[in-house]
Amino acid sequence: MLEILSYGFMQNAFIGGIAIALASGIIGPFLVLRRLSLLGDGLAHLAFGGVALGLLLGVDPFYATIVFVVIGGLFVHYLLKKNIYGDAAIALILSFGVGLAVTIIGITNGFNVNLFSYLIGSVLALSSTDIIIVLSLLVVVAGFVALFYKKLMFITFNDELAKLRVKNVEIINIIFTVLVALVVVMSIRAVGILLVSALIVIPTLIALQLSGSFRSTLVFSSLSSVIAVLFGIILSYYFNIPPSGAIVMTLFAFFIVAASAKKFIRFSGV
Amino acid sequence: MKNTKMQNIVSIENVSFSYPGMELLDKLTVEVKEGDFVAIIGPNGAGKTTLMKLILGFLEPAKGKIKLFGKNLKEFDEWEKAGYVPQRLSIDKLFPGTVEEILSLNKVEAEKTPETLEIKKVMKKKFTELSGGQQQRVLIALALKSDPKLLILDEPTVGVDIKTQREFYDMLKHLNKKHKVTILFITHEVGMIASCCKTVLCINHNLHFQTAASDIDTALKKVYGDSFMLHHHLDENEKTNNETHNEIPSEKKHKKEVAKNA
Repeated sequence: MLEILSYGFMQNAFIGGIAIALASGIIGPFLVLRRLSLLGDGLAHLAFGGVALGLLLGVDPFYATIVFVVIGGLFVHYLLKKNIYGDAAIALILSFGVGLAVTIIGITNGFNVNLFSYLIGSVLALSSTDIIIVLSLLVVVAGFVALFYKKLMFITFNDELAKLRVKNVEIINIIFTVLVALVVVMSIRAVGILLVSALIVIPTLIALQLSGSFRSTLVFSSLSSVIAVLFGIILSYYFNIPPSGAIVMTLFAFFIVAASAKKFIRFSGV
Repeated sequence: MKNTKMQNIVSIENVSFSYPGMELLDKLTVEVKEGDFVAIIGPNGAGKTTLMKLILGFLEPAKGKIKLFGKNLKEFDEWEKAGYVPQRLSIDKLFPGTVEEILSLNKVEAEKTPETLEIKKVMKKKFTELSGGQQQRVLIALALKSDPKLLILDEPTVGVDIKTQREFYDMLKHLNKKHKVTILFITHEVGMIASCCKTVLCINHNLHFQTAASDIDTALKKVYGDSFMLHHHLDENEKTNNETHNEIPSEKKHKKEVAKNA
């Protein structure tokens, strides 16, 4: 077992994976409970366009994606304020991102191998610089949620009521959207564009089966996310399977177990 | 409403509002004074919720002015004075927060909260596990924590049984009488208006007027027409019959005994 930790890339995978899992586990409940579960998916698909654009322009796709996804997140926020349905706003940016990527692929005459690597991602490919960025992002996300915990919970509970009672709701929402966009970009490294929403949504669904309060939902969501990422990395190492797939499969299995346990407890009256 | 010495809590002056292609409110003027207990009634889509959203600043009137506690709504920022109680059904059914967590959202502590509302027993329970009546009490408790002078409620008893409705309106009456909380609420349960409220604000698009709660039948006729009145009375009779059928056996026995003795 210790052998797995002797490789530098595996150490990076564990540290980076835990940080990404924690960050997405923390923001997940606030998105899922506001019926914005697929925001991560929409932003990730928008990132696909950002990556393609970066590759086309010869700009580092990572930075191109950050700018693209943050703008996309703020655009969704603007559309929500204009009373456009959340799912419709997400569908809009999702289609735009994929459409842009497909167009660029067409212009460049063929599918770029680099582009494909973003689709499925790999936590095993995290560099030392990635680790610093991911850890810094985790500190910012955790710090923001800790600082504005009650305000975020109030907005999640009832956004109209929060508008009356919470000062700076708009600013809090904008910062939160930017952080979600950044977490999505970093999660793409771990599980890829196609599976990024799994890291945001499934841990929250697991937590909702087990938790008895809002606070414990955040704790269970972060914990299940971390355990699934660690489990997925180990599975991928020993069975030589893509880590992103292993992580998502593990999360899905956890959800089935948690939902069954909840049902069992309810029926048996434990 | 007639006491001119009382402070105006809500002043709506010549307010007009329309959605694209649909004029909803036209030159509406309403005053809600300190200590008032006002029910807003009218058919679905008549503009009740729109009016509430205008008062809360979620929508802006096309024309006219709205004042809360004498201040123009745009300048008004003392929302701890005005407690808003949303419909309990607007809370996500998956929301995992406990009653304690929800009440902690409102920082200011007021003495009357849990005692009046009898929610101490369920503080550790999840909001979504409570009955409709308990959920509504929690939402009121949240609003009351900042000791508001005005409570605005959006269809507070929707989806709860008749007994819970009655208890709920008794509690509102208590808050209005004992704690001098001015109450403004939207309702479709017109049966309890006469016994609870002081005033009724009737809205049906461009038709709007205020009347004493005791004149509820006349008001209903104006807003809904004669055919509604027939249904209304039939419904009221049915409710009374149901309540008689739902009496617990000991109560029935007791009534029979009283009748025999008489």
